[in-house]
Amino acid sequence: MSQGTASRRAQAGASFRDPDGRLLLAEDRVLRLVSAKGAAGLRSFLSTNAAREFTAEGRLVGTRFLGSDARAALSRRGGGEAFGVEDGDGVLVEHERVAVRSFPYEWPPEMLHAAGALTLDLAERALDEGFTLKDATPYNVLFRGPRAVFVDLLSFERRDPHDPTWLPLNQFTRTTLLPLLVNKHFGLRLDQLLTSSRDGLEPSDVARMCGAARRLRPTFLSLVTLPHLLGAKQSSGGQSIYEPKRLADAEKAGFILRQQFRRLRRQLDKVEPGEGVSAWSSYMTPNRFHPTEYLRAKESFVAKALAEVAPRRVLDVGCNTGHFSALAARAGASVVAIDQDPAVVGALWRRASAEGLDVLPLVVNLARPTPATGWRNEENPSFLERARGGFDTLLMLAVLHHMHATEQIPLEAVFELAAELTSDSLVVEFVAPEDPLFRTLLRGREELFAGLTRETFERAASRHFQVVRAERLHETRWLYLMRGRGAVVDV
Amino acid sequence: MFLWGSSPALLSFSLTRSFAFIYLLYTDPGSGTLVWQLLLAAFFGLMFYFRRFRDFLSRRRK
Repeated sequence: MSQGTASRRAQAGASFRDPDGRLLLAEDRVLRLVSAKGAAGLRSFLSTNAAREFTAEGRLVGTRFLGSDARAALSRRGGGEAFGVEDGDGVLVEHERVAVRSFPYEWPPEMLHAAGALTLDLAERALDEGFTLKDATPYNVLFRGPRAVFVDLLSFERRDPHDPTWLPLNQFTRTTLLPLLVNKHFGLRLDQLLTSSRDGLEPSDVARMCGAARRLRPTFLSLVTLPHLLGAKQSSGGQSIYEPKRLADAEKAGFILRQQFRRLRRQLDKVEPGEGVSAWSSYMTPNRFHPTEYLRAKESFVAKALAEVAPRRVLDVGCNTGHFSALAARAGASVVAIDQDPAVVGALWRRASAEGLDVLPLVVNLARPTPATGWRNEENPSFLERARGGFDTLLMLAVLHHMHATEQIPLEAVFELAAELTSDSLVVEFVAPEDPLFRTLLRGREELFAGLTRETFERAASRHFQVVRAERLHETRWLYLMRGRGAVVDV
Repeated sequence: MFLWGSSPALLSFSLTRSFAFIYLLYTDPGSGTLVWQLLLAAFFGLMFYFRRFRDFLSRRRK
């Protein structure tokens, strides 16, 4: 990687769009270099009751100002030039690190809704203290387990008390309300929508999807039809609507804003996703393919493996409704659980929220993981870049045969990737081609997998992993605990 | 990483009788959505006066 790329990477992926500051990642620390003006506003906001309350609740990221010696230390370490802290004014601020970054296009609808709710909570509360949010994108939010936390503190600024408008309303509508609306009513997947459309949807985009009757429904009328029609009329008008609006009466301006927030909250309630159901939702329910004894044996094996390995960070691939993610979380691990099906990921989020489990569920298909996106493909790193080396245990339960059969990824390649993702152990399930569910995936292509046996499976794993033990769960299914060849093994 | 989506900042300058504000339009306020917001603001403005009048009447009755 060139020096230029390295320095961009150090400050990459974030805040070049904000004139008041930019984010810097220094090893495990999250720093922000803030302009003098931005720092004054930030200090002011952090001293408010709103900021203290939300920080204490864990809904606003913890933040502290660093002294000038910290900036000097950073410069001396040789990172100064890369971080751009050597010259110029600016104050260094440190944020509490949120362990795992995730992006709106990896969230199930439930999490986007939660991010929207947090944004409105903060916007309303900040209003009480004379502040406003100057932007309302879901990229301001990360998740600690299932809990949303607002991280972009430079989004807060002092509000003009005579201003009755909230300019980020359009951004909030486009990036939160409209995606949830089309997901709820048309079944459009957020991962597909938001990966390609970072700025969400315009009302005119949604209007095109609607028939005449739907356009008149109250939620659509307010979110789609009227803004669409008014925008079409406005496009031929002047720029006067963009001039700042100020009222003589500050109380009236505040009242209007609060009513706008109440209206947005009602709209957010209306687009709240229901409990999704998909073909995978009842996968863990005992049936003729997954009898109760099989599920019990599997649970017992995984529980024992988790007790033995005692992982701190687990990645559960193909988590389904998160039965084993929950097991890992109760064993004391921080869990990231991924599945390609938004319905099950959403169900897992609901469960993790309700039970207080440290599980971050994401809509990610490991066979086609989320790519790097944004400017120069550096703003939002890919899932693999964020995940590599970030876990000490990987769970791949009844998923490997999907990758192998459906995506036709060679076993050796899957184990190679697994070795990059975990620094220690792997709990992996081998499903033989004779398995009835495996045969439904094959659809007559059994010959392609005739050579897939336990021996070939173990041989594919052996380059990167050592088998600690294996157990037969079922006629056609075995479960393995493996340790990485670089890991310390107690056998 | 903490990201926010935005279009390039627009600078807008407004003078009132007593002081000046520089507005940095950080996000794209949209057109139709902004007009709709302003129309709703006008409606809420009427609500504000209605409630003031209602509160005034309540105080008078007491």
